[in-house]
Amino acid sequence: MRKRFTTRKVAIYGSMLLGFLMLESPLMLMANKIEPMVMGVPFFLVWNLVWWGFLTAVFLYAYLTNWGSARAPSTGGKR
Amino acid sequence: MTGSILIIAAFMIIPLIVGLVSARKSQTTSEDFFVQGRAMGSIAVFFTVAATWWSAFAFLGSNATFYTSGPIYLTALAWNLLFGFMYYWVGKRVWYLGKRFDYLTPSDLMGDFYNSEALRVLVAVITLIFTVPYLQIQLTGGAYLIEVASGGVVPFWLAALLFYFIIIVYVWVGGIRAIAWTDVIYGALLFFGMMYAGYYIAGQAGGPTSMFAQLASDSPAHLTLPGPNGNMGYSMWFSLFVIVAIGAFMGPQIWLRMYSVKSGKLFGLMPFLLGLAAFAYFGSVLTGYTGVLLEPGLENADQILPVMLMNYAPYLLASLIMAAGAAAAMSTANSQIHAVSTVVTMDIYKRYVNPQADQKRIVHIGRLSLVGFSLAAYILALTVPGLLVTIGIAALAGTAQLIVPTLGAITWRKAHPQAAFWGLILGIVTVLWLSYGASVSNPLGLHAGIWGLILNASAFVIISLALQRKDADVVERFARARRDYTAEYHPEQLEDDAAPSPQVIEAR
Repeated sequence: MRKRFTTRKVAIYGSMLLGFLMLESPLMLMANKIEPMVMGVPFFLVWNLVWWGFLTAVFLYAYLTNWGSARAPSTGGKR
Repeated sequence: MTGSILIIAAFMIIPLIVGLVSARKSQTTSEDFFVQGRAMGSIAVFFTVAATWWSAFAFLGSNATFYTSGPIYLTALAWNLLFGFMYYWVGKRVWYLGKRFDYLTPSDLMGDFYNSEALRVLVAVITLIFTVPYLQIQLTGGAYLIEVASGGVVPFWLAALLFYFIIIVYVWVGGIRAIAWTDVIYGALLFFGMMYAGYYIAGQAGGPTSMFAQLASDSPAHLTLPGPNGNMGYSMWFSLFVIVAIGAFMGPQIWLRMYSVKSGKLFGLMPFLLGLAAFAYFGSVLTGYTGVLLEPGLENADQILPVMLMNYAPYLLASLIMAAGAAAAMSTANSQIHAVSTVVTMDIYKRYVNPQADQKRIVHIGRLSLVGFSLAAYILALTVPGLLVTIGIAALAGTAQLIVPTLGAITWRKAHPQAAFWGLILGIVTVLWLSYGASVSNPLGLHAGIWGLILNASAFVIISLALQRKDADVVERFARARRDYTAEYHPEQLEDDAAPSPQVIEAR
C-alpha cells in the first residue's frame, strides 16, 4: 500500500493552517495594537500583511508542487 | 465635465463592443450559453472569477467600513485566501462531477447526489432569493458612482437603467462567454482603481506614513479592533471571514464558473492568484483612513470614495476611478443576472414546465429571464435603501448555508437527503430569524450566518448518521466518481490495486 499523504502535502496544509490560525484565531488579538509601527505602518496592519504574504507564498509553492500530490502518470489523456 | 462624460460613455460602450464581438464565437446550445461549453481558458477564468467575486461590496463597502468601523475589513485578506482555497478544493471536485454528469446549476449536483426533487427545488429557491438582494447592491453602488462621476448629468435612475441595458444586450447575444471577456476589462480596471485611488488619496494627507501617524494621534481607535464604535471585535472579524468567503463562493454565479473551466490544472493556481489580488485592499485602507482625517462626519459612509475623489482629485482622474468602481459592480451584476437566469431556465422551466424544450427554446427562455431579473433588481435598487455591506452580508449568510450539503455530496457517502433538506431549512430559518426577528441579532457576537451554519451542519451530521440511504445505486455511482477523481489527481491516496473506472476518461 502506498503512503496516503506525502510529506510535502502535510507541509503545505500545515503551513496553511498556521497562516489561517495567525489571521483568524483569537491568537490574532495579540497583534491588535498600533505600536510598534513598522516603517510607519501600524503593527496590526503589518501583522495581517505579513501572514497574507506568507499564505500567498504557500499557495504559490502548492501550485508549483501540484499541492503535494504525486502527479498522475502521463498517459497522453488516455488510460 | 465633457471629459468625464466621455469616460463614462467609453466605459459603457467598450464592454458592449467586446461582448458583442465575443458573441460571434457563440453557439446556440444551452451548454455554450450557460457554461461556455465547459471550455473556458485560464485568463478568462481568473478575471471572470475575480471580477465576479470582487463587487461594489469590495470597492465601495471596504472604504466605507475602514472609514466608519476601523480595521475589521482587514479580515478580507484572509477571506480572499479562503475563497481561493475553496475554489481549488471544493471547486475542482464540483467541476469534475459537473463534467462527468453534465451539471449546469447547483441544484443539478444536489438533486442528483441526494436523489431528491424537494432538495433540488429548495436549493434553486435559496440561490434565487439570496442572490437578488446582492444583485441590487451592485446596481445601487454602480449607478451611484456614475451619477457622481457625471456631476449629476446622468441621474441615478438613468445610470441604473443604462447599466442594465448594456448588460442585457451583451449577455443576451453572448451568454457567459461575453461576460468572461468583458470581465477581463472590468477586472483590470477595478484592481487598478482601488490601488491607485488609495495611493492618490493618501497623498493628500502627506502619504501613507504621515497619514497613519496622524490617525494614530487623532483617532487611534480606527487602527485596532473593536474600532471606533466598539462593536466590531473578534467575533465579527471571524464571522465575516467565514460568511463572506463561503457565501460568495456558494453563489450560483461562482458555481457556473466552476463548471465552465476547461482544464483541472487551473484550479491549483487560483488560490495563489486570488490571494495575490487581495493586496488591492491596501488601497481601500488608505482611502478609508485618509477619509477619517480629511472628511470626518460623512452621513453616508458608502460615499466616502466618491466624495474624496471629487474633493481632492482632478475631475478626469476622479471619473476614471469611479468608472473602475462601476466596473466592480457591473462585473458582478452581469454574472449574477446570467446565473439566476440559468437557475430559472434549467431548474424550473426545463425540469418542470417544459422538459421537452429544445436547445433554441432553452436559450430563449434564459434570455427572457435575464430581462425579468434585471427589472426586479432595478425596481429594488430604486425603492430599497441600505448600506452596501449590511445588505450584502445578510444575502451572503443565506447562500453560505449551501456549503454543508455541497461538502456532503463531494465527500461523504452517508450524506442523507433528509439531512441536507432539514439542515438547510434550519440554517436559513436561523439566519432570517436572527437577522429580522430576534431581539439579539448576534448572540455571543457571532453573525446570524455563523449560527445558521452551526445548526445546519449539526442537523446534517446527526440526521445522516441516524438514517440509511436506500438508493445504493446513486451512492455507488458517486463513490465511483470520487474514487476516479482521487485516482486522477491524488493517486498517492489510493491503494495500488484501486484502479479507476472506465468513466475516468470521460470526465477529463
